[in-house]
Amino acid sequence: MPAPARSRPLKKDFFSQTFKGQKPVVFSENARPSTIPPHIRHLAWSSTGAALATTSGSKVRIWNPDRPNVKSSQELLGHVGSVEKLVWNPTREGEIATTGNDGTVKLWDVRVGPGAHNKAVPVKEIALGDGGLFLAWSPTGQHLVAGRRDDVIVPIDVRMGAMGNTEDLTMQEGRKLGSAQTNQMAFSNSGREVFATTGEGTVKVLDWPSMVRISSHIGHNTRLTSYIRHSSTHSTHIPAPHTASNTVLMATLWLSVAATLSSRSGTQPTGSASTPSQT
Amino acid sequence: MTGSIHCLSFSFDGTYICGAHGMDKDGDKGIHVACAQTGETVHTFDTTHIINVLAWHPLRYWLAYAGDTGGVKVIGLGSNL
Repeated sequence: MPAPARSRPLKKDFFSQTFKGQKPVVFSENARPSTIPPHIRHLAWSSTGAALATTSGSKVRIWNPDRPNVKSSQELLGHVGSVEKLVWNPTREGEIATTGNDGTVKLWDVRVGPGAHNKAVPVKEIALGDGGLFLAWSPTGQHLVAGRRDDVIVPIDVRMGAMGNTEDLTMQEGRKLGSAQTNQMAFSNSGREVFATTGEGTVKVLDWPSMVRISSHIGHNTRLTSYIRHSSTHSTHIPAPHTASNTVLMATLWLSVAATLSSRSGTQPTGSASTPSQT
Repeated sequence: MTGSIHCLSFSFDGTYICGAHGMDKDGDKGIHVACAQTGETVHTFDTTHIINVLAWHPLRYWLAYAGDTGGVKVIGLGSNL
């Protein structure tokens, strides 16, 4: 499917009436859907929105939004445990990375097209050394950070890409962020920082790629923390052209994080941050 | 919204945030859409079950979510929204 055009802005006063009566389109794996909801662990649109990926158990499925039936979908087979996270390459449409309980990160290219029975196998993979919990792709598409169950963070170089060469992916030595659990990570839109959300209820901002901690932000209570945890994660899902508006959004949710980022955005960082690496 | 938020997503233009309670025992069903600037809730999409993952389309006001019966659902798909 070609990528659809961008929507015109919708004013908040008209939101409810605009969506009233909209019936959702259902993408079902079965011809006659059961009344028990299928356990779909994660889903993600490709960067142009031309494809929608879902994970359920050890399976990853790529749907064509134009054709909501399972015959028009593609199945990515290769994980032996449940898949925890999938991320699309923000710069190369069709490239997707997954991680899960089997402790691997797998790279797929859905443009290759499915093999027999609409099933595809991974193009490349790497063993993390423990179960994979989350993944984030840098805005340049050159790096992945993977989080393991034991809270070790592993940067992976994917500059070689999935296609066109036979070189393996390379993994840097993993590290822990202090003693706390790390639940999610996300890149800032500039790609110069990563955000990490921790079990102790803080959001940490780290320099990328040095992973040196710049600042730590404490939530008001557990509930707020879990909300913010995801806002920092998902905010980077905004496409690159919206970097500016995203900074505004970050400010409404996390003034302190926004202040940290803006203090680093000039040529001479003035905040408490360590000197950012420009590499 | 009350209860912990399990998933959330910004719309492509950064105007709206939607969230759901996923897997939280005392969580509510439905998807709450808030204006990102003011924080006010502008709409709630009703669902039969608790939603555990959702994502706005990167270019349109189309919202994909899972946790409900049938499979993945997409509100607004193919429409001019």
